[in-house]
Formats: sequence, C-alpha cells, structure tokens
Amino acid sequence: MVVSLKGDTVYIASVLAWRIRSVLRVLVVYVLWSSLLLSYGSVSDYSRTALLSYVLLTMIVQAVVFSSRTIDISNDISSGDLTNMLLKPVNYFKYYLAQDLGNKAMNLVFSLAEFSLFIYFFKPPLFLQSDLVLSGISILLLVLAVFIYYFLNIILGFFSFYNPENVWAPRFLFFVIVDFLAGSLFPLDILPPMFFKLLMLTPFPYFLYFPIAVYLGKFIGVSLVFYSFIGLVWLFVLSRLAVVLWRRGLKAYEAWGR
Amino acid sequence: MNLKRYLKIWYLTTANAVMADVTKRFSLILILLGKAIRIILFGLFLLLLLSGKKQLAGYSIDQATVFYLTFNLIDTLSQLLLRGTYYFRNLVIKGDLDYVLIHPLNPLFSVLFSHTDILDFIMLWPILFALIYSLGQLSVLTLIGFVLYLILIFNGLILAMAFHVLILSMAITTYEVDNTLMIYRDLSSLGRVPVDLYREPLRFFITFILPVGIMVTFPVKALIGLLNPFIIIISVFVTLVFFRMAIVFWDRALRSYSSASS
Repeated sequence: MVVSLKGDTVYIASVLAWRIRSVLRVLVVYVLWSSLLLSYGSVSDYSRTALLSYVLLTMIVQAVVFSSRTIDISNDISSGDLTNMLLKPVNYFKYYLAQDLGNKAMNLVFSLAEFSLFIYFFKPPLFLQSDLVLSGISILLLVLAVFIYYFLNIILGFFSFYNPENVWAPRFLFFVIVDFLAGSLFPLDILPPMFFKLLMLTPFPYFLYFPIAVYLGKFIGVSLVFYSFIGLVWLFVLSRLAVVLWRRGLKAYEAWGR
Repeated sequence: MNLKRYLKIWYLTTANAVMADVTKRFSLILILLGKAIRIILFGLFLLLLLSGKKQLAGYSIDQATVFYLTFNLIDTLSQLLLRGTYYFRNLVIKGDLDYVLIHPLNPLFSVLFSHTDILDFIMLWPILFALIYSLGQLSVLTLIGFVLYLILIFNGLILAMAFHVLILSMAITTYEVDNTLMIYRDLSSLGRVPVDLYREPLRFFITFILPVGIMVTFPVKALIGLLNPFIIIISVFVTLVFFRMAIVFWDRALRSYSSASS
C-alpha cells in the first residue's frame, strides 16, 4: 500500500495534472448539467438540487471505485514480470487488492479535499440524506462497487494470458462503456424505463449510479433489496470467474519477455 | 520551409504508422468500436435530452446535431493528424528527443506529425456522412455560410494544433503529457454542445480565453448565419495570437530542454 502511494507521487507535475484532470472531468459534467437545468428546470424526476448533488457525489465515488492498480496486471503478464510474483510467497489477488486500497485511499483523501473546497467556494445546492440507514447502506454499496470493479478489472487483466500483445485495446473499450453505463454523465434512471431495467441487470450501474441513487433515496424497500441482491450476484459470479481464469491462465502462461 | 519535402516526409511517416497499426487487427477493431460507441452514446444522450424539450440553448435538434458532429469532425481530424503528441513523453523521458533535434527538419513538425492515426481516419468517414446528412436537414443553408463554415473549421484545426503545441511545450519542462492531454480533451468536450448553453463568465472564458468556442462552435454559428463579420475577424485574430503564443512557448521550452536522460 505504501509502495503504491509513493510510486504514484514521484512526478509532482504529473500528480498536479492528474488531480486537475480528476476534478475537471466532474466539473465539465457539472457545468453541463448546471447550464441545462437553467433552461429546463428539472430533468425526469430530478430536481436541480438532486441532479447536481448526484454529479458532485460522482467526484467522490469515482475516486474510490475507479482508482485501481489492476491495470498493471496485463503488463505483468505480457512482460513476464508475473514470474517474479509467482516466486514470492504472496497471494496475487491480495497483493493487487492492497495496491488498490493504497491507491483508493490516496484518491479519497484528494477528492474529499477537492470536494470540500468546491462546496466552500461555489456553495452548490447539495442534498443531505437525513436517513442514516440509507446513508449507511449506500456506503456498504460503495464497498460492493469497489469489489465488483476490482474483480472485473482483474478478469480484463487475465485476458493477457491468451492475448499478451493486445493489452490496451480491451481496456479502452471497457473504459468507454463504463464511463457511460456506470452513470458518470447522468443518473441512469433518466433513460427509457425498459432500457434502464435491462441496464440494471448488468454490473455497470453498481459502480457509480446505484450507491449514489440509494443515497439520494431513489431506491427503497423491495427495489433496494432486489438490486442489492443483483449486485451481490455479480460480485459472486465475477470473483469465481476471476479465480477460474487465474488458474487456467497460469497453465497458458509462457513467461514471455523473460 | 520546403513544403513538397515536408509532405513527402509526412507521407512516409504516415505509411509507417499505418503499417504498424494494421499489424494489430484485434486491437484496431476494439479501439474503433470504443471510439464509435463513445460518439454514438453521447449523441443518443443528447437526443434523449432534446426529445422532450425540442431546443438546446435556443437551437433546434437538427442544429444541435450539426454542432455535435462538427465537434467530432474537428476532434477526430486533430487526433488523426496530431497523434504524435501522445507519444512525446517517452521521447523526453528517454532523451530520444535529441535524435529529433539533430534531424534537418523542423522538430515541431517531426513531433506533431510523427504518427497519423488510421483509426481516426476510419472514424472520419461515418462522421462526415452523418454531418452531410445533418447539414441537409438544416432549413437555412447559404453558399457564403458554407464557405465560412469550412474556413472556421480550418481555423478550429489551427487552434487544436496550438493546444497540442502548448501540451508539448509543457511536456519538455514538466515531463507530463497524458494528464495534460486529458485536461485538453475534457475542456474541449465542453464544445460538444453549443457554448451558448453556458453562463457568463464561463461562456466568454471558453470562447475567447481558452478558445474552445471558436474552435468548435463558431463554424456552425457562421453556417447558420449567427456570426457577424466582426466576430469572424476577431476569431481568426484570436487563433493567430493563440498559435503564436504556443510557438513562443515551444521555442522557450526547447531552450530549456536539458537532454538529461540521454
């Protein structure tokens, strides 16, 4: 974890640009919605406060969920560096989980500071959930999102066992799909109901949209239990798939580059 | 500058880049798919937003579509031609920029145009077809408007190049390219919708100070006759100043290049 933290802060200018970029990508969406809401008043059943709160909360949730070191797995496999890891008495899954936690901790600290500064200077409308149970559940769902994202990324990395030369392309496609279908641009329930329901059966909404929507009180009672269950099913399926792919991948691994 | 010689060099580097890219067909298809999905999904999002409201910042659905497609045209063209920027960090970190500097070529040309992206070339065609179709849906279309549209698209490409030169200049002094490029892309993405949507002072800022508006919104405004001649002259002037500033930054950055890693 400490190694991950130190590694990420070697180039100061890069760190600065990285943070500006992290804030900017949310601000661009915020500015877009803020301007649209001035013209439209509300969108779907989202008031100005609810929608802008949603966008601002994505700043923190994205920092926690989408920060990950598992991107290095493909490189470990394609460069042959995985051999070094296999010789060490270290569980590969736990090693990357620790790396991820370090990365997420750093991202969370930065994003909380940036979020606070934004609130202090711009005083945007912000929805505060008074129901502590819903707030607690949304934090638990955030933890669920972290693990679903972790296993999905690991699975993507393990594809390099079979195609070590094409590391970047599947990940690029994954990022493009996640960027849209996780709800970083808009709350997914503004989509047509049929499409929204189908989307909720995929793992993508559980990264970002679902924890925030629960915090905003969009899911209560049966729908909250049902979709939380779907999220847990995805966690189970993806974690099992990751283990199976790891075992099979090791048999296919040829230590290229070594 | 011998234009014919530079065109020949660009042709050769382009041929090399294309040959290298087509060896990775699986990657090529996936990245192409990713780029197409990104454009289509945001377009669908805009249509979804507009379906109930009929207008975006005072523009009709057809006009908003032309704004979005023009943004994608300029964005794709700049990536197609200026992809070399994405490879620049390694040149600086490893000190390989030395080899570029000793060539009897303008180093900025060598760096900016070192890699033509075939994927963006492929992406360009569906965007162009969609744009031509959308232009046909506009009720007000004049020859003068269309000529001004083309001129301002060229103007937008010069601005995009100036942004890339600024990023390269920063890379020499800070070794940072990836995040700076993403900052540029995020900022330019504000132009996916007409900048008239945004409130002042942000609108003025992203139109004239960080001229995303001039780059991607103004061509369409000129096309539909919403830009007076004075504003067109101002926008060309801003572009020239911005480009000149980028070149000055590049020259200064080159002077500070220490070749420390080589």
